[in-house]
Amino acid sequence: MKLPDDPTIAALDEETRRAIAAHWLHRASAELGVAVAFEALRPRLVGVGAAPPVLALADKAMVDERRHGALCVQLAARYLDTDVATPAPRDGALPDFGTGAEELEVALLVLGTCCINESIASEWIRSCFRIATAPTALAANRAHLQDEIDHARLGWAHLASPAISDALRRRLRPWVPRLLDVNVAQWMKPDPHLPREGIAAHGHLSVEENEAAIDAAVRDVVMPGLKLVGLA
Amino acid sequence: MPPQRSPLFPAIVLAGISLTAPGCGNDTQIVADDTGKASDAKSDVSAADTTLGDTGSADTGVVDSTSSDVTDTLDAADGCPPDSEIPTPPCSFIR
Ligand SMILES: [Fe+2]
Ligand SMILES: [Fe+2]
Repeated sequence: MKLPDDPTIAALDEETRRAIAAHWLHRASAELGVAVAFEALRPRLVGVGAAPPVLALADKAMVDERRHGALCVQLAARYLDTDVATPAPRDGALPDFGTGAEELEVALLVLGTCCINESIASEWIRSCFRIATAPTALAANRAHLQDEIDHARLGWAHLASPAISDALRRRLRPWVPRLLDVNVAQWMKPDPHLPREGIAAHGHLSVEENEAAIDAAVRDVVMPGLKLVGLA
Repeated sequence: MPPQRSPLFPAIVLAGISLTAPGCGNDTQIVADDTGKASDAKSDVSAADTTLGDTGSADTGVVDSTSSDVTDTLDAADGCPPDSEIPTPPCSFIR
């Protein structure tokens, strides 16, 4: 991706530039790991009879996440003002919920990965975009947000589809509050690379802004969505 | 300070479900209308700035009018392990 000229980066002190680069390198590894996860999820969606629009979104998600990984490396390089190597993907193995029922396993993966995590990610990036003023941060967050919205849609499309029978929906329901709690707790952890007060101009939230974004995503997107698909 | 609100429900949830279950919800017409708005919301987001503000957040009519007809007969603790044993699916941003 062609990033815009951005004189605000050279104006940052060395420590801040290193912190932001560390954040993006960590993100690069994570994005590449999610690409691996979507690659593993795709055939399992086919196996449970996922609808064609869901499969099309899964195909897009794999390609998107690889591109996001590359963009994050590019961002790290820009903040460090030197080339950086692409990190290895973080573990993208799909978890096993131990239910022994493939339809339920896939539904849980979609619920956690897409309906919960990608929906939260979308609101979280929107918040980063809103506080950013640096041209690089605006461009990067805009690019990410456009795609993460599709990854979240994949989840809602699947859970609303005929691939989820009423019986499966009933088995899914007791998992919902706990899956939500476990994932929200992960999101609430402060970013170890960045200062608590964030770096607003470059699109990095403070600890309080991070929590507010996650709360808003759960209250205004995830919970109403779960109600709509009969899971809350 | 008022709580932050997310305007992304139509762009994410309504647009998502409209792909596979256009009649999901009691009022198909509302869902269809909101889905149109949802594509706008996405292009607003991609187009730019902070104007996304509160647009599209007032879709509670759809949500409220759509309670599930699924009867939850399961105890919340039934068939589901304790939190400590629930694995976390991958996400690009989880620390
Ligand atoms: Fe991503
Ligand atoms: Fe994503």
